[in-house]
Amino acid sequence: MNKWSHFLDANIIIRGLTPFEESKEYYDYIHISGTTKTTSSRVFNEAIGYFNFTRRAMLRFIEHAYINSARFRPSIWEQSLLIEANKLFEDDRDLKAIRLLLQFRNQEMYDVVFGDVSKKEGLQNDVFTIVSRALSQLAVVCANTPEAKIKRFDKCPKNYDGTELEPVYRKVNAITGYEKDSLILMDACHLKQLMNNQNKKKNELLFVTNDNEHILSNRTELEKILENILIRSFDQIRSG
Amino acid sequence: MSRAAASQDNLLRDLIILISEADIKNRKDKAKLCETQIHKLLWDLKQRIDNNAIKNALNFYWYRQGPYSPSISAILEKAKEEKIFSITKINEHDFYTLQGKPTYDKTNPELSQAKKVITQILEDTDMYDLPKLVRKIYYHFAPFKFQPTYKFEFLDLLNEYVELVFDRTSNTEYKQNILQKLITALSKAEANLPNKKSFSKFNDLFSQFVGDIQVITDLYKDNEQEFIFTIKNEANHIWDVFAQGVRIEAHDAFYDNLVPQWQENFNEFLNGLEISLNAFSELVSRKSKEYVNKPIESLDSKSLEFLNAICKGYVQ
Repeated sequence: MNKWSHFLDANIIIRGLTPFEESKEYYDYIHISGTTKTTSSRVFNEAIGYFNFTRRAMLRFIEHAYINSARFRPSIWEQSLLIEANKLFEDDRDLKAIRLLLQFRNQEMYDVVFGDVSKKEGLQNDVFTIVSRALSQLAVVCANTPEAKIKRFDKCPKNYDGTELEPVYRKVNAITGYEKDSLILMDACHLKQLMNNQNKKKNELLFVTNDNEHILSNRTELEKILENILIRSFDQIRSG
Repeated sequence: MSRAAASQDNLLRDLIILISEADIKNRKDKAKLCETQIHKLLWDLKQRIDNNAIKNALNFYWYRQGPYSPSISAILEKAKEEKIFSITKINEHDFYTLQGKPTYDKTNPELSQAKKVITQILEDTDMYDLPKLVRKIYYHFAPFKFQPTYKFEFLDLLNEYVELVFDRTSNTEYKQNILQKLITALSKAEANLPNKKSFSKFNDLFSQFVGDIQVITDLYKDNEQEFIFTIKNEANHIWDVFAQGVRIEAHDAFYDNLVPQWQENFNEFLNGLEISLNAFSELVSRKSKEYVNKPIESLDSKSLEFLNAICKGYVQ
């Protein structure tokens, strides 16, 4: 690995899966730029979990809309569906997925509500295929081999309790207040430590994330604790 | 055993005798009933009869093979010892046929009422087709639509597909058709997962499994043999775990006192499933290093735009 390896958070990897319009810069960064990019299996699983969750929310909602179609009137079907979604789901992530479904598959959702079972199955297959491609793309881009665009490191501990990094983990977690992000930051720290041991020198790692809530807003404090790890947003990386 | 419990057991024993007697009357020397059949017929009796004493003697919960009652299994065990039935073994399963003329109180008005309903049930049921009876019960009465979809659409097709994968003479087009149906059944099962908090961990694990199957069928098509038995084992494992959870949600009040124990069992089974499915996911993700240079089949621009919006929607 060269001096400035990049450790990517899930929000960067997911964003770089499609070369579409404003995501193209992320896509190019992952697929074309020569920087060495790594991540951990924890980040990879987080990304997979997002797609699995989104697929399930959409499939369930399509099913629900079809089964309850008798309740909807053509003139206000979309508002009624949103009301239904609020009743069906408590998690904001589900509602976000449903709003995307209504935005990007509006006519198809109308057909599900006022059409036959083939329309429902057609849209479910469509959602299933789209998520399949995302998961396949993710598996190819982010694999446990140096040949991959993002080399996935699979051997991070499940948690850092009882490891020599536990004191660092405690401090990081006190700052972020969010265990999931703390563990990901610690994966970067663990990886850097392994690189140091291998190369017998101090390596530096750029942690790339767009997470403002727990990570970027606490950047200065976190960088003090995570020696030789610099935390940067994608925009900062892009502007050099 | 209390007098009330003994009396309920006697009633249950008499109902089983009545069913067996009615079966002999209808099918003569072909009459024989397996335990699952007796369970399902008695369950049907409970749904149809308008008699509280009979209903109260029949207590069920939903489990691996649909409505199940440990009391019925216990009575059958006892009846074996008392040689009330002759037993025929077919494919490791016991089939029961009434022997002689066991006594029951023919003046009991409850049993007379039950006898009439049982006669009707047997008239309505194809006694030579147990799977049809089980399917009917699942599709009409299962507490969650996930159950018939997963059991009769996904698991059945999966068994067929596993055979096709290793059958070199199988028609490629037919195999592809079954795979497409299998994927449709899987997505339908996921769409019908229980919308209950108590199943949220199960639902997450199920979706993890679906995601792994998607990668295998989409990306590792040429290597499906490597995964197919694990998929089959995990798919059956999932059904077993679901059975631990479904009885908590769907049982007669008679079993209320068992719910805390069932909840513990369900949690243990969920932990076991988590370990096992995580190992499967690792297996799937480790394989991807062989595919890093494989181009992914592209989506049309409308779908790509939708996927892009999904990707942009991720906020940690």
